[in-house]
Amino acid sequence: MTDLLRCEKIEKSFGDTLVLHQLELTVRKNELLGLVGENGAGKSTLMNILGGILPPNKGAMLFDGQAYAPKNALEATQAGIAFIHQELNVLNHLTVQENLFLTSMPTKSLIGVRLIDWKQLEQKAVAILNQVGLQCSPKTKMKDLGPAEKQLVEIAKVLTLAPKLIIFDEPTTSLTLKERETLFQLIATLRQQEISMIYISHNLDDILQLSDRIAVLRDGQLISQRAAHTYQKESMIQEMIGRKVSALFPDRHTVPSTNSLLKVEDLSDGVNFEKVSFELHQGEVLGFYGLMGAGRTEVMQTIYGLTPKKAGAVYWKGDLKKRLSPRLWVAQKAAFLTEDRRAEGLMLDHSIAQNIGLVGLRKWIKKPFGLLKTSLLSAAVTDVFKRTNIKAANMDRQEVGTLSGGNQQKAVIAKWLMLQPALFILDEPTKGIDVGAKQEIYQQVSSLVDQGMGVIFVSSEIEVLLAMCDRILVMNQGRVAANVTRADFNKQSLVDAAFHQTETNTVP
Amino acid sequence: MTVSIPKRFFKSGFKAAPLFLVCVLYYVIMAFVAPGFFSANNSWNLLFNMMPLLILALGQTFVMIGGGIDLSVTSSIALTSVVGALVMTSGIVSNPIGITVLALLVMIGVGGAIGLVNGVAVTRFKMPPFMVTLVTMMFFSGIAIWLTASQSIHDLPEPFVNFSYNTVLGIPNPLLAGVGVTLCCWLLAQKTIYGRWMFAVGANPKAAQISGVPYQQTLVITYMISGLCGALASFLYTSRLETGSPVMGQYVLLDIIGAVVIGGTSLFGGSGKMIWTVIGTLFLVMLDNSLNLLGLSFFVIMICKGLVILIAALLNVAAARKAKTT
Repeated sequence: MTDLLRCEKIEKSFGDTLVLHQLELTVRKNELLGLVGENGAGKSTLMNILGGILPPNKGAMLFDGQAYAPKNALEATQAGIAFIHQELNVLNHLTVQENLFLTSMPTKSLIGVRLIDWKQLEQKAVAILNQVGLQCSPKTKMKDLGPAEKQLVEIAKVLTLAPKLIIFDEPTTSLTLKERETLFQLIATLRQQEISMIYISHNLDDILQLSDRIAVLRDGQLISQRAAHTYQKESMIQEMIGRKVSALFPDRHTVPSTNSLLKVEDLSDGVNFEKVSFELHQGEVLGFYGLMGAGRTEVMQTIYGLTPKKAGAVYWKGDLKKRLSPRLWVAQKAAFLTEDRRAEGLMLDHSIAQNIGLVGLRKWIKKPFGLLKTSLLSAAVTDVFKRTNIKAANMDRQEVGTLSGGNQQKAVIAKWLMLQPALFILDEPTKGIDVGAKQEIYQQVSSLVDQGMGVIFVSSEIEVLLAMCDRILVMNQGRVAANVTRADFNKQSLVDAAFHQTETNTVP
Repeated sequence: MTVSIPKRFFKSGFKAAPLFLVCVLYYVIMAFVAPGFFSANNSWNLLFNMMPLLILALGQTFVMIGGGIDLSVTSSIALTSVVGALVMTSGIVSNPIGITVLALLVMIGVGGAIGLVNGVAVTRFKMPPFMVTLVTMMFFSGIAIWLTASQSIHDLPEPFVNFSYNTVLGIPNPLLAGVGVTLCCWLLAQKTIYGRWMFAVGANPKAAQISGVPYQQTLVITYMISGLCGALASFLYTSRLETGSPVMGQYVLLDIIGAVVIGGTSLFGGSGKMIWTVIGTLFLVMLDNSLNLLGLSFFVIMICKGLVILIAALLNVAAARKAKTT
C-alpha cells in the first residue's frame, strides 16, 4: 500500500512551548488510522496543521504524491482533506438540503438571472443522504434532527466535496450506543469507497475495533505507529501516559452510613423525567446510568434549581426544601459539576485562581463592607490548587481556557472543593478528558467519600460506575428503571435496563 | 528605585500601560503643537473638566464589565438635573445648604431608581441591555422635558452654584468628588465580594449562577451604580452651568462609552479595570481639548474622536478574539 499522507519532521511551537517535536506520521491509502494521546499531546495542533488553520514552523507534508502546505481551510478542502469535528457545525434554521449544498447550490438560468435549481438540489441531496443511510426528507429543518442525524448530515456534507481523507475528531461523544453503531457502519461503507480516515478518540475500545493501524502521540512526539492488532488497551495507555497505570480505579472500601443526605420524592419536570425518587446517604456514591437523553442531567439540573420542577419534593438532611436554587445549595455545601464545563463550569478568560476562588466567597468577607480577606482567600485557593494537582505554570496569571480538558475539569473540582462540600453531584465528570486526569478524578472522589461526603455520579460509562459506586440507579426514558446495590451489580442487567423500552420505541 | 515602579506596573498585569504611555506622548507632542495647551491653567482646567465625564465613565465601566451597556445614562443626567433644580427652587427648606443637600439626595435617589428599572428589565424580563436602555433613555429624557416644559431652571441657591468653585485644602470640590468616586469604584470592583461576582457574571453568567452567585442582583447593582454616577455627574454639571436643564448631557454618551472602550474594558463583559477607565477618560479629554486649541471645528473634532474610539473598539475586539483562540 502506498502512503496517502506523509508528515515529515513537523515542528510547531507556541511561544516557548514546543507542541510538536519532529513529528512523523503516515496515513496509507484506503486505511483507517486510529490516533490516540492524552489531552495536550498535540493531536489538535496536528489536525489544525493538516486542516490549514495553523502553519508548521518546520517540516514538510506530502499528500497524494504532492507537496502539501495549505494556507487556509479552503485549500485543505480543495486538496481533499475533510474534517468531522466533535462539535456539530450546522445551521439549525436551514433545511437539510440547504446545509448540504450551502457553498455549492445547483443553479439554473432564467432570462440571464441565476436562480437556485430546487429540483436538482433535492435530487442531489436525496442521493447523498442515501449514501450515508439517513432516512429523512431533505426539506426537514436541521433543528428537528437528533445529534446523531445531524452528524450524518455533516458527514454527507463532507462527502459532497469528494474527499480523499476524512478526519474524525471524537465523533461519538454526543451519540448514544445505538447511534454509535450506525456511525461505525457508515465508516465501514466509506472504507469500501476507498476513502482514508484518521479517527481520533479517547475511547480506546473504539479505536481498537475500528483501526487498521494506530498511532500513539505523547508530548508532541510520535511514540509508536503499528498495525492495530499489535496493540492492547493496557499497553496503549502505558504508551500514552509514559508510565504504568497501576489501577485506573481506586479501591472503594468505605461503607455508606445510614444518615440521609438527600432525598428526592416523585420529582417531575413535566418534560424530560417523571416521578424520580431516590435517597442518598452520607459516604455513599450513587451512580446514575442511562442512555443519552434518558433524563439524568435534567434531574440533576432540576434538583439544583436550574430548571423549574413541576411536582415532587426534595429533602436535605431530612428538611423539605421548597425553593431550590444554586444559592441554597451553595449555602448548604452541595456542589454541582455540570456536564458542560466550558459553558457552565468556568469563566474561560479568567485566571485559574479567579475561577477557583468564586465559590464560597462569603466565608472570606470582612464585615461590614463586604471587603474580602484577600490573603486568607488566596492561601485557601493555593491549597486547593495544589491538592487537585492542576498542571499550570501560574494560577494567578494563566487563563483557565488555556488549560487542557483534564486540567480544566480539575479546576472545576477545585472550585467546588473550596466549599468543603457535603454533597457533590458529578455530571459526566470524565467526559472528553485523558486517562491520567480520569484516574486523578476517581482518586479525588474516592478520598472525598472516605471523609463522609455523598456523591451522585452521572455517567454513560458502565465500567466506571461499576467500579466507583455503592449503588446504581438506571434511568430510562425519564423514569427510574432500576436501583441496584453493589452486592447485586450485574453489568448485563444494568445495560438491559437502560436499553429496554427503547427497543420498542424506534427512532422515527 | 525609580525603575522598580514601572516594572511593577507591567508585572501586575497593567494592561493599560501602553495607553498611559500614549497619553504622556500625546501630552508632550501637543505641548509643542497646540497653542496654549502646555500651561498650568489649561492643564488644571483639563483635569477640572474631566471629572463629570470620569464619574460617568466609571459607572459605565461597571455595566460593561457585567456584560451590558447603559445608553440611558444621559437621561439620568437630564432628569436628575431637572429634579434637583426643581427641589432647590421649591423652597421647602429655607436653609440654602440644607436644600442643596436635600436636592443631592433626591438626585441620587432618582439616578438609582433609573438604574433599578434598567437592571430589572434586563435580568427579570431577559431583555437585551441595548434595547432596554435605549427605551429608558427616551422615556426618562421625555419626562425631564415634560416636567419643565422644555425650559431651563435658573436661580439656584448660592452654595450649590459655588460648589464647583469652592475648594477644600486648596483642592477644588469637583476634583475631590472625582477622586473620591474613583476610589470607591476601585474598592468595590477590586476588593469586595461584589466585585468578584460582577466579573464572574460578566464572563459567564451561567457558570456564575451555578456557583451560587446572586447573578441577577449583581447585574441590577451595576445599572444602579451607573444611574447613581449619572446623578453625581449631573450635580457637578448643573452646579457649573448654574441651571437645571432637560437636555443636559445629550451629547456626552459617545464620550462616556468611548472613554471606557479606550481604557480597554471588554465589550463582551468580564474584564476591565477602573484605573483603565481613568486613563481612557484622560486621553479622550486631552484629545478634545487639544483639538479645540488647534482651532478645529466641532464637527472635525467629532470625526477625530469617533475615529479614535473606533480604533479602540477594533483593538478591543481583536484582544477578545486572541483570548478565544489561545
